Amino acid sequence: MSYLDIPVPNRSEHLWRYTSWKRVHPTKVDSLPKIEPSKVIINGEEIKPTTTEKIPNNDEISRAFLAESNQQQHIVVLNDDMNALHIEVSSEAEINSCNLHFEAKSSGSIILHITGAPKWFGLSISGMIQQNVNLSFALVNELGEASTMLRAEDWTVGRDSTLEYGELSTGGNRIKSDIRTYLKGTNATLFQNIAVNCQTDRVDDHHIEIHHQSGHSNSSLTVKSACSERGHAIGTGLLSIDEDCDKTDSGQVFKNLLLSPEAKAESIPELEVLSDDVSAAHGAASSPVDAEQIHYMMARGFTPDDAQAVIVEGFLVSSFAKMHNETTRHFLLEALAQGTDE
Amino acid sequence: MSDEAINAVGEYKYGFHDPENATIRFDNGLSEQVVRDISELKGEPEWMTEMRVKAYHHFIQRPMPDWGNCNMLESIKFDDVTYFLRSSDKTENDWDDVPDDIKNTFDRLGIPEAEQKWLGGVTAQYESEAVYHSIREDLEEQGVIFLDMDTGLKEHPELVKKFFGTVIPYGDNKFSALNTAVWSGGSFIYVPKGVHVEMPVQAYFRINAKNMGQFERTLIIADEGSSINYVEGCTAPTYSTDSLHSAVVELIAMDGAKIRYSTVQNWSANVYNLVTKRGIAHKNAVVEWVDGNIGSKLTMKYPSVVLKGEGSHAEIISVAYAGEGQHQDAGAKVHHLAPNTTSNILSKSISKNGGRSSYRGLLKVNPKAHGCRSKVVCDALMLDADSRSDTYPTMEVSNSTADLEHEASVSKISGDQLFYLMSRGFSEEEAMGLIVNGFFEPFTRELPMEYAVELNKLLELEMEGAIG
Repeated sequence: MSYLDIPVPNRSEHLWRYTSWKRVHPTKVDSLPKIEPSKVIINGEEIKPTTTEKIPNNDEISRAFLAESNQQQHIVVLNDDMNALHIEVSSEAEINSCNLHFEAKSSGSIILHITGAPKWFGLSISGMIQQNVNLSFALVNELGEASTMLRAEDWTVGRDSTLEYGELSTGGNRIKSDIRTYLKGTNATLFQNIAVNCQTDRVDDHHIEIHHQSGHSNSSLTVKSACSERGHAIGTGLLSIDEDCDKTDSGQVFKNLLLSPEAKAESIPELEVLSDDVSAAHGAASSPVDAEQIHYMMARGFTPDDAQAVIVEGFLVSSFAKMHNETTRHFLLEALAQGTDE
Repeated sequence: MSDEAINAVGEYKYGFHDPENATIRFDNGLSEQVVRDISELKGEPEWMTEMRVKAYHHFIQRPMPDWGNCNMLESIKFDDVTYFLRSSDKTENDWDDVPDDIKNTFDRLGIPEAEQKWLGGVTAQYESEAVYHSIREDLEEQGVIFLDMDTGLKEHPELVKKFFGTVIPYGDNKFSALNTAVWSGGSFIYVPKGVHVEMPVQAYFRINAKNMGQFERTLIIADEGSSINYVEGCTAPTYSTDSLHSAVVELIAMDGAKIRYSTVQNWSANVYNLVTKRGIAHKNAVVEWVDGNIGSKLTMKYPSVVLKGEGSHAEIISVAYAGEGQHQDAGAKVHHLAPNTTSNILSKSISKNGGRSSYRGLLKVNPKAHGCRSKVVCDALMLDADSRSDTYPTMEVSNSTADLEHEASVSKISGDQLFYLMSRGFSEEEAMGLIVNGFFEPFTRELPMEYAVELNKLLELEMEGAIG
């Protein structure tokens, strides 16, 4: 279905409950502007996109919009010759987007660093992790503080494969991310760790779906959001386990740290289970900073602001501490340390 | 019970029905005239008639919810429902005066016996209106008002007008509009300041006729420093056609008051049970919902509490059992509006033989609700691969001092637990029954003992044949 044929989603829809489509469209919702592709540098070399027919048609509005408004795509293959990729996506125009397709044919790591200060940036990612492949993926969003980002990701994890996914989201003013992972093979595994820092009046809306479509598959999702000033973090999740997916083991945790009276957080971790011999759990928690921790640090010479910054860093660091891949883990931790120091 | 009915809805202990002896029965279907006729028949004041008519128009205009089990909702045939049926010309206060067939039904359900033993008052509603009502004299002397809602409106119109629809206005949702338009029966309770009603009062709702719609309306007001424990039960005969139960329950707990509202819903598997229940807790007040859902075809019920006064507390314990062809879409909602408010939600569900159980919850903290705390726990057991369990919790937090936790888990009965019990001589079925009773224990221990025993028996019946 073409974007213009898809009705504008209603706010009663779970996915669009907190951030309407109108707010993340770069122009007017009834228009389909032609959007220029962003500059993409892979391991220091600028790579031009290819015009492609590989982007599948999609009935979901953000995916259809991203595919049709920019029909250029970067196809990135991870193989034995090239198994550690550092990708810099720089958004220089006022409105631009990037369509990335990853094919992981051998184990390795991908770092995706998003920078620039566009008014609007669109990011579409599709990823296919083939059998017996372990991919560690790190995404750091450091867009300018006035930017809006619309992002849609679709990952497929094959048999005996693992996707280790880490994300640090600190940039932009309004972020709408929709990340979906399909565990399609026996023993397919997902470890997903997302850290969100909402300062000033930043609104960060993450929708994360994990679909277990095969038995003996595993997933673990942790989303940690720190909200200060008028920051607003939204985390909606859907964990679905299809029929005949016995021995699936899955868990989701959403944690929010609220640091100021005007900060807000929303969590909706949903669970749909159609198999009986599974382990599925989710949890959500919101709480203020422990006054005792602040007091402890101030007694040792920290100002209240510094003490709070250290606590926030500690809260978010734990999202990445258990990531196995050293390259991606270091990159995320360094980006986090820089972000909280500023 | 006919074979056809058994095939349609399965075995059900309370599926018997009496011959229909209606003194007044409206034609099936809903119109403004039906609404006006119900009001006129009851001799209601004009404000109530007007409210009913406005609610009717709202119901007609409002679309069906686009969430939940839309397929089942769309299959409700509103035109086939009987919206008013009177079985007895008046509400009696002596069981001997109740028509024999109706009295026999309640005898079989054990209501008169329970009343003598452990209840402070009873309302028995049959179809659209109460057929029996009584309250202990000592409670009456203390100024406790316990009436069926129709009598409450006649005898205390000012009190009803002041509170009716203030907790759940007709515009709240499609089914609260339907209830406001055609409500009939239910309970009206007022507990004066400082009075503690020690023995529970009970309402029992029975649908007997085919295609019947029951729309009772309950309003409970506990004045400052008072307390009351209200228990309701419900059953219906088994028919191959569907019935509709759409109640509205409003609770108002004034400063320092406590209301506990316990329900064991055991409708037959041909009843749509679409109920709106909400309480308001003022300063230091407590509202508790203890909610068991065993029967019905589709239940959509989310007891909620608005914590309006500082220091108020909400406690919601709900269990659901979803068997073949059933969808128990239950949950809980708490709105923390005031500082230092607290809430606890515990939800447990079991799905079996292709049944579906869903927890749908909302925990909302307003910007002014400093220092509030809440904990939500949802546990689901799935007994076979054909069943389904969903959890849809929502947490909206707009105050940085709020401390909220939510946890949920879905699992099957542990093989180790089964093995342990079977090694001590229990059959597999007995062992499973024990584990299920233990799973529901946090709920049953909050019920009056007689209800808890009955619930355990019901669960044992439902669990029959769970093995293999």
